[in-house]
Amino acid sequence: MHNLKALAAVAVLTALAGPAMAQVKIGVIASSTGPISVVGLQQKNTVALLPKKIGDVTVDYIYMDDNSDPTQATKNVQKFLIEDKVDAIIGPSGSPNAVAVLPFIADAQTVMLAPVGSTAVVLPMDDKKKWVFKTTQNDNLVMDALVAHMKTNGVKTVAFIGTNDPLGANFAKAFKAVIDKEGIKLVAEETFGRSDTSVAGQALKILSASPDAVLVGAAGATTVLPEVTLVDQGYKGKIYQTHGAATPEFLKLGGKKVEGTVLAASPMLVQSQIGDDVPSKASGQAYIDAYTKVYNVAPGTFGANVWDAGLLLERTVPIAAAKAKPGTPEFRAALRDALENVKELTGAQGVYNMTPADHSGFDKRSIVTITVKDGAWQLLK
Amino acid sequence: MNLVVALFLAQDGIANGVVYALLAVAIVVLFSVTRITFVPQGEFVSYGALTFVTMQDGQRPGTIPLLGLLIALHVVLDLVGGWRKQRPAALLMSSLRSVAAALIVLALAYAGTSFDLPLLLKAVVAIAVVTAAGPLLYRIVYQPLADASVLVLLIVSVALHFVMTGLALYIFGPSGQRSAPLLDITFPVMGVPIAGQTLLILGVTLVVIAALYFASQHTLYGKAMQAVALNRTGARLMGISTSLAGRASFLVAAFIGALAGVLISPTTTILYDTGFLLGLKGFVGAILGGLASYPISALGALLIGLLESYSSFFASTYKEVIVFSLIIPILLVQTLRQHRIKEDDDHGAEALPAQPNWSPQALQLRRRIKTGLGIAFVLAVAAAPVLISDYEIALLNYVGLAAIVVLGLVLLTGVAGLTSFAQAAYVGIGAYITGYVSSTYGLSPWFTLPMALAVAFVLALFGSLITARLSGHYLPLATLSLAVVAYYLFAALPQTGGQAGMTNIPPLTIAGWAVHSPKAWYIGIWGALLLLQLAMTNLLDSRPGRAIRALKSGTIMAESLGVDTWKAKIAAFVIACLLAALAGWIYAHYQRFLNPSPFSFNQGIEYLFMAVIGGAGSIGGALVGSGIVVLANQWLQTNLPLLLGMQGDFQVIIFGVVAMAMLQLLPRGIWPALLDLTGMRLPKAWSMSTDTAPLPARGKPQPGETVLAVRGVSKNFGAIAANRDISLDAKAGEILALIGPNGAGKSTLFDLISGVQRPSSGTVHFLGHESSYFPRTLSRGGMGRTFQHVRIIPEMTVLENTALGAHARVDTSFASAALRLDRPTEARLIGEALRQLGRVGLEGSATQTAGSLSLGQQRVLEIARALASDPCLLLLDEPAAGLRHLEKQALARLLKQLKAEGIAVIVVEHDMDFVMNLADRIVVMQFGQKLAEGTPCEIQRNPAVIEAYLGGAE
Repeated sequence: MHNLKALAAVAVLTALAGPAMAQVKIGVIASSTGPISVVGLQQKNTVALLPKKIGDVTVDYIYMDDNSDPTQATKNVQKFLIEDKVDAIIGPSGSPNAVAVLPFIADAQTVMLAPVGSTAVVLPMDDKKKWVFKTTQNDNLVMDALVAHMKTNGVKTVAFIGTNDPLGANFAKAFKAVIDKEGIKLVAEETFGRSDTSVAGQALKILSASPDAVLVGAAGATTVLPEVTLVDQGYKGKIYQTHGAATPEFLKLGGKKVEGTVLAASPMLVQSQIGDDVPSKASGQAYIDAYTKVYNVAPGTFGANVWDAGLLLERTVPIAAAKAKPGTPEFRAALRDALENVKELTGAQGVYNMTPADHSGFDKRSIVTITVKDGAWQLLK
Repeated sequence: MNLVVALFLAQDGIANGVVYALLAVAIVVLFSVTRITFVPQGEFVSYGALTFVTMQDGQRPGTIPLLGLLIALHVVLDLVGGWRKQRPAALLMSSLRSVAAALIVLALAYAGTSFDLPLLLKAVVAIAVVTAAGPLLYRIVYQPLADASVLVLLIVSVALHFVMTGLALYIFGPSGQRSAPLLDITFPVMGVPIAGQTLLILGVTLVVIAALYFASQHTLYGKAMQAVALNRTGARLMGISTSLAGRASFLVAAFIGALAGVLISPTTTILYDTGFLLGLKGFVGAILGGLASYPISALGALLIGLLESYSSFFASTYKEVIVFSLIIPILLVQTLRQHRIKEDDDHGAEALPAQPNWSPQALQLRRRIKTGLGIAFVLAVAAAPVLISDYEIALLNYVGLAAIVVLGLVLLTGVAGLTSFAQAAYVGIGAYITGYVSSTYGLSPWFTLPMALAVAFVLALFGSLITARLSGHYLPLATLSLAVVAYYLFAALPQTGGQAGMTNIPPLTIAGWAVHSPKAWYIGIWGALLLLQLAMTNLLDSRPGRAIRALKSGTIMAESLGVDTWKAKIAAFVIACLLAALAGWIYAHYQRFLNPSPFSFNQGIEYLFMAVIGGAGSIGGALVGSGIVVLANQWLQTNLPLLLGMQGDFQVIIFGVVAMAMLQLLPRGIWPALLDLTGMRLPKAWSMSTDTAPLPARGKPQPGETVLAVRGVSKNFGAIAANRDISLDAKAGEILALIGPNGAGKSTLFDLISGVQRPSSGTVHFLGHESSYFPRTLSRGGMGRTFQHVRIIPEMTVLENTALGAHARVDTSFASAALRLDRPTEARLIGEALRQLGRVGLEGSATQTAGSLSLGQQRVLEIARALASDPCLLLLDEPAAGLRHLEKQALARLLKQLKAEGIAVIVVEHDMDFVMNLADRIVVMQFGQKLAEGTPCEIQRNPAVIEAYLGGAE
């Protein structure tokens, strides 16, 4: 309900913006309902914080929910591209949704800033994917950081438990690719339903395989149940989580039982503990402040991906607007070229350096390893 | 797996199973009293749990204002509903009285959340708030639908589920919650730690089930609710209000749900949509208990919990696949234990509005207008690509794809009365087969189309072999299980790309040109849709179509007319699944990306939703329903932010509310209502020619030849002997009357002769061979019958009902019917039906719907229908009941004429004048035995008969 005010503000601002100024139209798709709403709702909330004016250009955001459904995402994208003739699209939240809309984006030659973890939307780079730019840490960056921590702590065998939805499937794929490379053995791989009320069977199976460590691949409050069940059943090894667990609920619901969990996530999560040498610190704080001001709660990291998309637009729209008029194919092409040349743009979670071959831009600086200590996030040095 | 692990899993299974058991019991209460399949039962769990946890966070949960809203809505609806009947002040008072309890709960909860109550009191408040909402929901959502069919009630429940999930997301947010523990102790049993919480849930469940069982058997209130469950009209006559019983059952169900929610909230993470799957599993348990028995339902639910627990250990990826695959054999066993022909009790209670009586000229004009509108519609469809944008065309493509699937559902669910949740799964089968084969082996989609259809055909045949045997509530559950299994296979199999999805599906190419643009697809999709609609219209207006239309009115009637109902059910299922697979094939090459969600069971429910909204029994309804649902969803998606200034979440809520309101107003769906409103529901223009080639006739026995020989048959129902050692003969060219007081066993004997029942001992010989005791083969062998309680298809015309009688005399395939190649045969069938109607004097009513006839005329219609089968033995069960004097005389003349034609006639009749003047021989029955046999004169003088009639019950 708190977001009413903000949204009203957006509505008023967009209404006040006269037709005299050049106007850029951005379509935003997030999954604010359905299975990945824990990711999408924060992204939706962040839309209200995006820049309304970039240079001389006013920016009009059109928001649509895709109910976490790829088919709905393609319908929304078609509406944006054909009806609204948007200049760029931010979204959608889920990797399958982003993959599903790729052909439409490529056909319409319109930029899509995808806040998804899967690298499948930008790799291998081809004519279709050259219109897509990723604003979230690659899933494998997270896995690299986690596996590096495992290696240094002598982990030889590991088990994975993830949700039986696109998020969990992505985590599993990325994780297996990295441990294969690093020579860690996967001794058990289990899945569970997002709204399952028990994972005792899966936990027992993991327990009987006695791995050195377990990684939970899920998001939001769902991350808690497998970990708590494992702890209750007496598992003594290390438990790892992805950035999917980087939410306040994880600490609240997990309580004492998630003490010592290791996760890899954006530095934003431990904003106060990171040194000023971390480049994204200031930008991350700006996002946290803006979000907290409107919604009275601190944001998780999912919405920051949409915030970063706003920063990318802030940098590139003026460049494109100097070359062509918004609403034209020339403007969209110029915007794409500008995005491909973004260098050293500091976002809320890391630093972007785009190249024609690499449209994800983030480097290792966008990921830190964090543990839970005394019921709070603690940066691991 | 060692013993400790096994025990651990057993404990986990029981802990989950008892929660399912609680919900199963609540679902049984609701269904048995109100016939509502209450899909959102699980929502009570998440509302209860999240209300409880929100209060622990020191906040006032959104459920409290929601309760206030429901109370207000209740009062407003009462006032609006009774506006003209009563004085407003009195009305307001009575309305307030019925919400008094809820108001008190609201006030207490509001006050209570201002303090920091102890944990236990918070639990009480949370349960009370949700419980108070239960009866309000019944009043607002279901009470106006008290007479609707089970299918409509189910769909309304689905809509309510949408609304409640949407509201839960709004009220509680997307992240999960977990409660502080209520009972934080564990103690080991045989090395397995048992949580006190688990024992608490177990104990509470046992208490609830015991209490319900006791209440239903031993308290006046419980008995009254049972009475409503058994016989609504009867209960009403006895002064038991169905709405009171409905409210009471919702109170119980909401209480049980909220209680379960509070109990499990410390053991797991509760999300806003956790309830749905819990409720689904409770539903499965309830059905395993036949939706009637509390203890068996609870055991069924417990079994689900255990299955789940063990399969999550052995193969967590395939957990749901294992659990739901195992349900199907259980269902099969349950069904096979039943009697082989089971009648479904639900015939869809909504009566058709009477057909207006147009003059021939007016009818002619309206037919022209309707044809004109049809042509205009086709032209509009053809012109659309020029007139509207690519985006709108793309939307229409999704409408068209859905309409192809829903067209199949219209046949399957609307016409044949078989509820299927599995259609989305068959869409998925079509899509994934073509997607996998064309992307992996590089085959052209034109090659994979027959492949996809063939696989869907085989799987549909497999599915229907299971489902066609199932009856009642088992069928929807079986299709739901198929849908769940298919979805989780799509998500887990390596070939489908799983949740990440399948890409690189090649586009469809025609002569080297790739079909790419929405407009190109539009031509294909809508062209196919229009052709399929035409084919479906043809099919329904044909011999095999009538067989499918007969399914809904009960198996016994159709089988007694020689219709192979099993084949008809399989055909309906297979056709529906082929349409779904075709839509899937198009979808795969149109979208060129596949992932499991468009083929989930939720989507299966949504297709059903479209069918019912549009009008489940009508072909036009398929398009209207798909159009409204797809376009309204997209419209809300786009415009809601503008209207409300808020975004997203409200779409599903508004959609659900509108759907519920619409079904309350138009329970038959939009399209039929629209036709009636505009006076466009027109009777078909039949060619009324009797000048057609006759149908093949069977060789008749010689007059005097024994057609039927009953030898020493007995029939026992448990300890009751309905028939004892009865023997009789019926001869060609003879009228045999069967008389006796009520309860003498005449109808049972009829059932034994016609094969509806099999005798416990003794034999029945028909035309020299021992009876097969199957109505269909007997009917095909020349045994025609009518029913004591008229069994006709009320919405079909008199003519079509009669033509159904001649069903077995010719053979036409589904394909020839759909392609209109069956017209010569069809003309002969209709000609024969008209001739038989002429014989019984009903030719003037031939084009009326059979339901519009008087009861007496309906009996005569049954005779015409039996005659159309060219019988050599005619069984008439009380044919003269409800006839006027002149009609009786006409009937007597007809029967004498049949006798002269060499037909053997057996009549059960109470009208003694009628019998004595007509029959050649009479058999008198009493207490299940043959009392006497002889000519009318002999019987009238028989002392035993006189004793039975004068000294007996009558």
